[in-house]
Amino acid sequence: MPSGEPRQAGGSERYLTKISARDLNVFYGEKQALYDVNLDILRNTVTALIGPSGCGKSTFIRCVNRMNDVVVGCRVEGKITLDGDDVYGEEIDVVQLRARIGMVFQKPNPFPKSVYENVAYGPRIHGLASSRAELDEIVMSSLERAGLLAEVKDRLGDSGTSLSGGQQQRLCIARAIAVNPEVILMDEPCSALDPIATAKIEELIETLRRNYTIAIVTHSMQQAARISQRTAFFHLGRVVEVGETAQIFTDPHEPRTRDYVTGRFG
Amino acid sequence: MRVVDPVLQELRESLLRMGSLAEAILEKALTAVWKRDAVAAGEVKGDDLEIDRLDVAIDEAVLRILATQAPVADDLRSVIAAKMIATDLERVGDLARNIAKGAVRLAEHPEVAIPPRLRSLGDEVQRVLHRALDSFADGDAVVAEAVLEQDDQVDADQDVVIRAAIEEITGRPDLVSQGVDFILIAKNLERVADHATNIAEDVILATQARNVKHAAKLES
Amino acid sequence: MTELRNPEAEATRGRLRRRYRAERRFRAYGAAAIGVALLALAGLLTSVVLGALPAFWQHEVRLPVHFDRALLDPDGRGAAALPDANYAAVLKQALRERFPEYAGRSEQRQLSALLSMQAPFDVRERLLAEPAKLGRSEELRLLLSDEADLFLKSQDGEGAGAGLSEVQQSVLEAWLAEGRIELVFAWRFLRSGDSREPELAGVWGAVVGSFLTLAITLALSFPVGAAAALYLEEFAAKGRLTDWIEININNLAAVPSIVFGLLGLALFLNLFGLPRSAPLVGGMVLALMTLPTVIIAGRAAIRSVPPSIREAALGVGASPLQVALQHVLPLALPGLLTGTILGMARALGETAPLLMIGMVAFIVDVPRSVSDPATVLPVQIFLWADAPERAFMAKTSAAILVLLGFLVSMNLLAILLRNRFERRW
Repeated sequence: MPSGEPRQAGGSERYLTKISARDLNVFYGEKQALYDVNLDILRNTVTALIGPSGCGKSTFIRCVNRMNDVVVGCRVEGKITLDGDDVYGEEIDVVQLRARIGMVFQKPNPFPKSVYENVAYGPRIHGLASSRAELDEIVMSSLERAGLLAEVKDRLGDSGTSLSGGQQQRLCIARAIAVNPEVILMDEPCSALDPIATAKIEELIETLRRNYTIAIVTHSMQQAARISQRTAFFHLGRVVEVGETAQIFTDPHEPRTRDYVTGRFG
Repeated sequence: MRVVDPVLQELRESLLRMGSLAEAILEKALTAVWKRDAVAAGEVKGDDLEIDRLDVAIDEAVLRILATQAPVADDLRSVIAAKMIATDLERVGDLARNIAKGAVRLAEHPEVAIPPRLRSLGDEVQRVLHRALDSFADGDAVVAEAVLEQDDQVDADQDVVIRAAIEEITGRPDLVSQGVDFILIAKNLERVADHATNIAEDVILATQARNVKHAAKLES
Repeated sequence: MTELRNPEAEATRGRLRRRYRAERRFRAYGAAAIGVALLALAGLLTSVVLGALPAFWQHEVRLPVHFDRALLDPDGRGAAALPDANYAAVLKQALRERFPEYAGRSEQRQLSALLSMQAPFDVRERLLAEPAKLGRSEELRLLLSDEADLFLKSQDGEGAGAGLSEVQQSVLEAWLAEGRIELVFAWRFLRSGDSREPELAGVWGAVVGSFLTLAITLALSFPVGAAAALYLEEFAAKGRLTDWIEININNLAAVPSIVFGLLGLALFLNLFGLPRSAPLVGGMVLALMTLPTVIIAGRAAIRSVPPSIREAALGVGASPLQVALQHVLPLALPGLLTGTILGMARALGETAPLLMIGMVAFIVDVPRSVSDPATVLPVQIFLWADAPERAFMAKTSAAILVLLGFLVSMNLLAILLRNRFERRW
């Protein structure tokens, strides 16, 4: 069974491809990190990327929004498209690209500014609001959609770093969605959080899915099983298997996938 | 070795023990019928208790594994299959008890020659059960498939035995009791074979992730 | 409850004791080192303060002065004659009246010499303020000369007065006995520019000169240094060229400051023809000297901004310039400011490069702009330390105190600014 080709099991035909990687090879200097990756991320689904440490999952998503551009010595070969447009094409403005593709990082990293400013920064630099009232509107609705408004509405002026870990991460999510992206990439967003905070974020991801396309790198297979509709298993820089989450966790086709999800290595 | 491995191994061993017990009491019940041994027949009830105890233990083990180990893929299918097989084996135990009750009644009535077809049905069903349990022990889907194919034959053989018994009864009304007992024993044997078939289907699900249950009915 | 009685325990206890002893010894050494440092500092400060005290107090004499119309306005021109009138004669007359016994010319000169050269001008100021006083008498407070001042100051201690004649000494003692001598706080020292006369010399000219020079230094070194640090850390491609630049900047920070003075002389004065001895040129030279410090401190501060902040900003779609200016720079500001002010504190005390560009001249007027000739505090101290008049000794120490005060306030400002801009991330 060829790995990497999206398995169109029942129901997923109605989802179109949002992001597509073809023959992606990524090098850090001499060392190759990704080998011939072919992967589709479908619209309005949560796609989980699982695999042991150092197998290329983070490298992959950082190529999608070109965060790897700032890494010295990183070379990207192959093609990644967003709605059919080549992400590395010459007409693409990286700054605009990163407004369309938001990112949430492993360790919550709010700006050392107020809660309001954290969320308002993105819309401001992209000129999404033409008046203070509009900016307020964007900030409030982003905080609402991130499930944080109720907890911070009296403390919008407080520093973003004064919130708890889980709240900080939701603030980072609010910050990401404030610029109205189409895709949200998450790199192990819950690994630094306690179970309750994690549960809140997972709930949030489920509601966000209706409006955004989400790709999430996760070390927790239970999390991948709980919240994703599609799962891609990475091993040693290659996509070993990708398919519907239920299938990957009840009947994985590739022996390496089976060994990984049942915990025989990891 | 993973944390879940010894737990899965223990579950498997409980099932294997349950399977041996089921075979043993089926053997005891049938022998009691063939030899008109009311004493042996009386022991079967007590033997069945052990099977019931194992069933409860396996229930608990399965719940515990699902809650604490959150198994996936093969392990998940194996655990689910284990529960289903335990249920089938428990039913086999109950059916053996029914057969034993029949043996007691036959012993209390005047002796009648055991119809040879009934005897061969008994042997056949014992063989089917044994092969189903083998397929579980070895994780062998091929043997399991063979078991599935035998089910139709068993059904046919059971029909023959019942018709012959009915004919006997209409000819000799004083032997109604024994005849009815023979019919009941035949029916119980056929249901044992059904449960053996279920076990084979569970083995196929666990090893090949294919659910072939009610295949004939669903396809039509 | 059994006691451990085996030899193992004994050995362990012995080791433990030795370790505690060693630790106590170490701590004692540390405390002693701090003690020595503090003692040295205290000794230095005490000697400077004691030496400086005399400079802050001056003696004045209350003398009745007659604004004699005959001397001041012989032609009867009235107020118009006052600005150019001969006030020295008025004073001589006042002294003669008081001490008729010292009638000889030499003696009279000696009497006049007891008063400061400023005294006639003070009388003039007094009359010009109230011209109606012409023809009348008033008791004025007049500054005594530096020799007289020293003589009076040493009354309590060693016998000075070597520069005063017998006549002068007895006059002073007479005045003392009459209670005409007053000791006042020397505001002059803090408010005037330099002067040949010690009693008139003040430190204000040097203070303003230092201030203007440092202002230029700050205006040049902070923006240029910050921008350079930002560019080198955020934008420059990492490679041989950038490494080479970094090595050179580090070396420049260690170059003797006089080299910058030579550069200033050759470039700013000779090539560009800028005014010598001006705070503008001094500031430019010092800025060149401070730049490496600012850049190094700035780079360290920028490097300490966690990369997660940059990633977060990039992820939201900020351009590299926005990341640098809106996120990195504000967070690096405390470190940058600290580095700048430390560099400026060093610049404040620099003499050698400023000597090269001519700030060693004797400047009397307090500078009013950056292109007026000026001197700076360390140069002033150097000049006074070299001056022959004994009175300048106290002034040298006093100027050192003023310089130290300037330094302390700059450091306080650094701490204040750093605390104000400090942000936790």
